[in-house]
This record gives sequence, structure tokens and C-alpha cells, in this order.
Amino acid sequence: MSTEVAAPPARVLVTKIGLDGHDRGSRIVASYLRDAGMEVVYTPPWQSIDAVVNIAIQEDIELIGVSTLATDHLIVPQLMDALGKAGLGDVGVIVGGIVPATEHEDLLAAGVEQIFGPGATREDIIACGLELVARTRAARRATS
Amino acid sequence: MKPDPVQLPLPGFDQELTDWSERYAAQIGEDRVVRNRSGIEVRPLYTPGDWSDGRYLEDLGFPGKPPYTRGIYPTMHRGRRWSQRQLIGLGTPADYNARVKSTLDAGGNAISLIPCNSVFRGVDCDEVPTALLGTCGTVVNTITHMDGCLDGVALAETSTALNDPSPFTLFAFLLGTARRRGVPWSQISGTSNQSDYISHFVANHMFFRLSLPGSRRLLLDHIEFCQQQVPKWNPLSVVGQHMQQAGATPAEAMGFTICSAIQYADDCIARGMAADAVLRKFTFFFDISISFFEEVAKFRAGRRIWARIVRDRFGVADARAMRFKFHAQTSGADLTRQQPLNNITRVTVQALAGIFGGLQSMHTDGYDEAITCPTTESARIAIATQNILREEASLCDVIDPLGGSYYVETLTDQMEVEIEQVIARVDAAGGMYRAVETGLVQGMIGESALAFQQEVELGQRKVVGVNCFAERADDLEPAPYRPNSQAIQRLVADFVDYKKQRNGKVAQKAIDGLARSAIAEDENIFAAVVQAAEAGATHGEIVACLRAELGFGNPLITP
Amino acid sequence: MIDNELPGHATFLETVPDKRRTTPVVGFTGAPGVGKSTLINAYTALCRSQDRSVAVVSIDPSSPVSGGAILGDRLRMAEHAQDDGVYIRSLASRGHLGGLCRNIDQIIRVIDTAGWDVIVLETVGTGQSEVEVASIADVKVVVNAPGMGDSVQAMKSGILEIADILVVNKADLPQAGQASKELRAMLRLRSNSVATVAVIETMATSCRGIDELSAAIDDCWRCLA
Repeated sequence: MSTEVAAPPARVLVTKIGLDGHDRGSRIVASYLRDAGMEVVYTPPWQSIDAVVNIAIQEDIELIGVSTLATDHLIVPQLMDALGKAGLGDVGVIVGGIVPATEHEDLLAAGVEQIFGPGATREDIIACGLELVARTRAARRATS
Repeated sequence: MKPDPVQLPLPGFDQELTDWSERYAAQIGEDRVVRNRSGIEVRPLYTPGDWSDGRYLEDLGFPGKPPYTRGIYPTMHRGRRWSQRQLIGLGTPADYNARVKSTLDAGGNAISLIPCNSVFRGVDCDEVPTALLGTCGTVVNTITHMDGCLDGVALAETSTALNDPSPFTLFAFLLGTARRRGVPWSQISGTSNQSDYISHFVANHMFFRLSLPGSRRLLLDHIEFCQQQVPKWNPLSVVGQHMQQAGATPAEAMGFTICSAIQYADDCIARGMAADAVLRKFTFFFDISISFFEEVAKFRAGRRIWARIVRDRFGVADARAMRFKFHAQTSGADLTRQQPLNNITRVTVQALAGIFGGLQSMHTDGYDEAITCPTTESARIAIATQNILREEASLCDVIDPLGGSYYVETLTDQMEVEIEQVIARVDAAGGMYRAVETGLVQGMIGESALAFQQEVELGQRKVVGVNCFAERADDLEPAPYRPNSQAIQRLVADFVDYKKQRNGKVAQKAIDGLARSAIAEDENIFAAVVQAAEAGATHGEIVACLRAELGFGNPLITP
Repeated sequence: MIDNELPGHATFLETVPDKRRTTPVVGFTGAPGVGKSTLINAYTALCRSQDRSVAVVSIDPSSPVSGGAILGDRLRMAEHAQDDGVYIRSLASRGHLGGLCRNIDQIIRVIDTAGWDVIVLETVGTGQSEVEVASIADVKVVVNAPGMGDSVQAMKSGILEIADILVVNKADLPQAGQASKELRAMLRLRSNSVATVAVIETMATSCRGIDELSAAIDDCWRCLA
């Protein structure tokens, strides 16, 4: 099979912030993204917000996927804030896992692009990811 | 060793079987191949041609006697109902205490404590964002907190399961509380529910706190300590739940769990402990999925395999040491966020499988498990489910009622074969410890998890409300539980105060002693943990000290 | 930027002084599962305690089918994620054979001028086709773990030949002593080894043997300078 790619593979960060450590879902999503041709920097859970910002810079990350199950989504707005302050506001952030319906708005208002709950399909996630990466690249080309 | 189907002396049987097969084939049209979660093919009909009771005494036996297939006690639930041991964990110690009391009133008869995620991570409440405290478990960082949790609970009469991994600080706080109340440690009963560090390393990374070698040593110290000072306590519970929830098939979960148990037994024996004394105190903890018959067969096969392993691999003759005692929890992984009230039905079926599987103790999930830790209402329904099954469906009247079913006995045999294959693979890899270090176990679980997910996404595996019958339901999404933020802030403030008020020198001296015990090879680290707890050290301080000496646990997460 | 050969990368490279490298590049290679990442993590911690900054470049294989990759070295290096004195770059091989990636030379050049005290290069190496690290790294550390049939395999492959330092990790395992013995015996059989190759036992998870390893690495670098 030809591995010619028109553009270099997307660089994606899959991570978990906060206290929860269940990573069955994030591992599956990471392999979906890999199978779609993306390079996935995969971290263990319990990353601090500062660490995520640091990683995004060091690894030239173009898309961040945050997996959250317990109540860790409650500090996602803080993450969005930190990313903005570090000049990474153009990097798309998607959240996957369990976010109670009543708490979706807070995340979307903070800048999260999309929240994927149980029932989200592999196709949805990949399509969203590719689109966000394309958007980030276009924005960066325009400003360089 | 599987017997061939017995040659039946029943005249006309073969002819009737053929006749039915033809009528079946004619009517069914295109039949589908059905496999259960462990990959075993499930056929439409089972008959004496598949299993008959020629080997009843060897393979089944009677309850209370090896191989224990039908149950580990002669009377089983008819003599003593299973313990209704609901997991409780939320908010502050006062919140926990209130919930314990209402659960005991509603029919629970044993206690389980699940601490806050911050406690699992090994830190104190003043080290994490307050928004994350108490949302999924109770904050317990000191003896005083534990005392508050168990206020009004008679320690000598109540069995307590503590969901606290190595270094078992919660248990140290419990012992300190007992001493404060004048209750002798010889009367304290319960279980260190999360002492199985291998399962955490493999499948529940959240609970993994200390390096693998450090955890290994600490478990042995803990077991020895309990043998000498808290004899009614079960220091080891080997956990199959984490692996099954991480995606292992039921056969894999049982196989890996038994392999872990073998590893722990080997470690204890290498330490110089007597095999039969050690094995007598082994308990297990399993997930119960909604694959009803498979779960029943899994537990029956597990009992039979374990009895034989204890007898043949460890050479122990004491029949009590061959008993496969277990607590089980209905599987949260089968519960859905969509149409949450459906989960009441799911939990009922799972509970049924556990009861028919012969468990000793059970926790039933709340219907809102996918969203939140249970509300008082969903917790009440969860217990009521067990009460109804026991009192109204009269499930305690007959021991192993599914025994003798052609299907269930055949499936038990087949599950036994699958489980033995898993055990053989781990043995070939050099034992469980080696198998997890090389990532073999994690790889197998990961593959099963991915396969399952794909089946759901392709619609091959039906989940009501998710990929079928998924029209919008009227069920309102349950509001997530959030602890009272003022109560949490007060808790943190009180905790900071506590550290100022206590005798800092005494606490520090005990922590230094703890560090020394970790370096010395012949000291009991857990005894030092208890001393530190009683000297006023906090959970975070104890864990930090041991991490510095024994290494931080980095579970071998393989992508 | 260089990894992706974005427009302007060639011009940028021209601005990077083409001088002899002053930062040691320490290459770690070995079969999957021997504990390379954990070892690098411990080594990095030691360097940091000596106030030395570290840049880690870790290469994982790309899928030949999809072109994607899971870059998992950070799984073992989480404690350094917030340290400004540690830079970690996860790269995919992108179809390049030899164990590294296409532009690794230039990437290392750029990092070299950025003022890091040590550059660590991590790659998977099990056989003759993955010895590329030998041409890039100044000090080559080949990591083994006992009981994985390693020493025999290693003897058959070319990997041991490139090593400046041989590490037997997971030294707590009973076969560790045997593995070290076998490696030392094998080294004695090799004629024309000008420099002696150190064989060091480590237990990366509890940072045992790391001091020795670091000293051996420093020794090698000094001999080259």
C-alpha cells in the first residue's frame, strides 16, 4: 500500500488531566487516530495543566484530545485558559468521555471544539480531528 | 481434562436428536454463529449428549467440599445470605457517615469505603484543585477523618472493606481509630480490598501508587502484620474486576486473576509463610457482566480450577484453603449513560448471575453509575434490587439451582478450558509478574477491548439505547453529584489547621522511622505505616515518604 | 519544522552553524520491553540533579499501513514534563529504515546549538537493520534485559558490536547475573576491541546502577573529545 501523503502526518496529543486514571477509552481513540495516519503523542493520566502546555509546545502539537471520566472536565476551562496564555489558542481541543449534559456549556464556552460521549463513532472522531488539524495549519500558514 | 460426551444408553436418543436438528434447520433458515464474550460458541440446544452426570462426583461434587463447583459452603445462601456490601464514597467524612447509616438501615449489612480520587493518587486534600475533591469518593487523610467516617459504627461487629491500595493508609487509620475507641485489633474484621497491585499495574492505573517491587514488598509485610496482629482481617483480595472492566473477556479475567493469586502465594511461600495459612485467607473480587450464563459458568469454573490448583500446585491438603471466596460487583462497564433507567434492569440481571454464580458478597451499582457516584435514591434502588431478589424471587432457597443444566455444565467445562489456556500462556511467560512486565497481559486485554468496541460500533453487539432502540427517552439525565463546596472548603481548612495543631516533631519522627523501615530489608514497612498514622502523619505524607524510598509507581501503560 | 520539511527549513538550516558538535549525543537502543524509556527517565533525573539540562529525542516506528504512529516515550517520562531543563521530542520513523528518521542529522544539529548539556537519542534496535544509531550517537548504550533470550539473540545480531556500554536492566531478576556473565564472556571473545566495553547492571525503576551508567557515559565522551 502506498504511503504517499500529501502533507505530513498530523501531530496529536492524547492526554488526561486531573485525578482519574481510567484510560481504556483514550487508548482506543489513540489507536483510531494512528490508524487514520496521525502521529499521536500519548501521555499517562494525571498530567498537570502546565505539563500539557509544555508538551504542546515541545512536540509542535496541532490537536489536543482530553479524555475525562470522573469529574476532571471541571478543570478543562483552566486548561483552555493556560493554552491561550501560552499562545496556543489556535490548537483545537476536543474532549472525550463523560461530561454531564448540564456542564457541556461551560466547556464549549471556554473554547472546547467538541465533546464526544459514549456512542461517538470512530468516523466522527477522525473526521473532526482531521478537520481541526487542517484548520490549524491553514491559520498558521496565513500568519507566517 | 474434558470428558467425552457420554455414550448414552438411551434408546432412540440419537434419532430424536437428528430429527430435532433437521426441524430446527428447516425452520431457522439462516442461522447465525453466536459467540459469547470469551469467544465460546453458543449453540441453540444442549442435551445429555453434551453433558451428563457421569462425572458428577469428580467435577461437581457437593457444596462445601472440593472441587466446590456447586458452592464453597454446605449451606450457601440458604444458611447465610450473601453480604450486601455496597461501595460508599462521597464528599466529607460526615457525608460518608450519613450514607453508611442510611445504607445499613436499608438492608446493607457490611461496609465498604471508597476514598476520593486524590487519595488514590496518594496526595492530601490541600494539594489538588478543590473542584476535584469528594466527587467520586470520600476524602480521608487522617485518623480523625476515619473516625468521623465510622462514627456510631460498632467496629467489632461490622466487617469493613477498605478500597485503598498499598501502603494501606486507610487501614492504618482504622486501626488507630480502633485503638482510640478501646477496640482490640483482634476483633477487627474486613478486607484490604485493593491489595492486588498487579491488577492495578495492568488494568487500573489510577490505583497504582508505588513501584512494582515496592508494592510487592509492602504487600508481604502487610500480610505478615495482619497474620500476627489483626487475624480476622483479610489482607489480600485478588481482583479480577479491573481487568474485566479494562476489556478482558470473562475467561481472561478469571485466568489472569488466578495467575496473580498464584504469584502472590508463591511470594508468600518464598517469604517463609506456611502455604495453607496463607491460602486460607485469600479472597477474590470480580466483575459481573450482563453475559448471564457466561458469568455463572465463569464463577463455577473458577471455583473448580482454584481448588485443584491449591491441592496440586501447592500441595495443600487443607480443604479450607481450597475455597474460592469472592465478592463481586455488577459491572459498570455494561451500564449506559443513554436511557439511564434501563440500567436498573441491567444491574438486576448481573446480580442474578452473581447469585447463581455463588458469590459470598455483592455490590450492586446505581442506575446513574455512568454519570455520577450514586444519589441516595439510586443507592436505595441498588440495595432494594438485592432485597427483592432474595426475599421475593426466593433465590436463597436452592443451592446452585443451575447445576445440572446441560448448557451451564457444558459452558462451565468450556470456560474451564479457556481459563486454563490463559493460565498456561502466563506460565509459559514465566509467571504473572514476568508476564505483566513484558506487557503480555496488557496487550491481550487491549486487544479484547478493541474487539469489543468494534463489535459495538458495527452494531454486531447490541446495546439497547446506544446502537438499537435508541430513540430519545424521557429519562432525564441524572444530575451529577457534587459535594457541598463549603463543606469541602471547611474540610481543607480544618486539615491545614490539623497539621498546625498536631505535634509536628512526633509525626516527623515517625515518618523518618517509616523511611528507615523501607531501606532496612528486615523491617515490616506496614508496621511503620501504622506507627506513622498513629503519630499523626497524613496520608499524603506517608505515601510521599514511601515513594521517595521505594519509587513512584509508573504503571506499564502500553498504547 | 525540519521534521516536516516545511517551506523555509533549508534556509533555516543555513543559519545553524555547521561546526563540530559539542554536546554529547547518547544513543539508547535495545529490544522492546527491556526498559529503555524507564532507564532514560532515570538517567535524565540524575543529570538534572547534577544541574545538567537534557534533550531527549525518541523515535517510534510508524505504521507501514496507515502512516500514523503512537509515540509513547512520554509514558515513562511524566515526571519531567514540567521541567524547563528537559526537552522531549517524540518522532515517528515515517517509513525510514535503520531505526531513526530521515532528517535526524539536521534535527540533532539544531538541538546541539540550542545549548543543552546532553542529548539523548532513543530508538528501537533489535537487529542488523537498526544500527543507524551507531553513526549518529557519540556514546552508544545497548540495553538488554535478562530472561528474554536476549544474550543469544544479541550475539547473533550486529547490535552488540556497536555498543560502547552494555546495560543489563531489571537487575533484580534472578537471571540478571547470568546475562551479565554471558555478555562479558562474549566481549572477551572479541578481538581488536580497542576500548573496553563496560557492562553495567541497572534497575531503572528504582534508579539503581544509574550513577555507574552516567559515569561510564561521561568516560566514553571524554575519550572521544
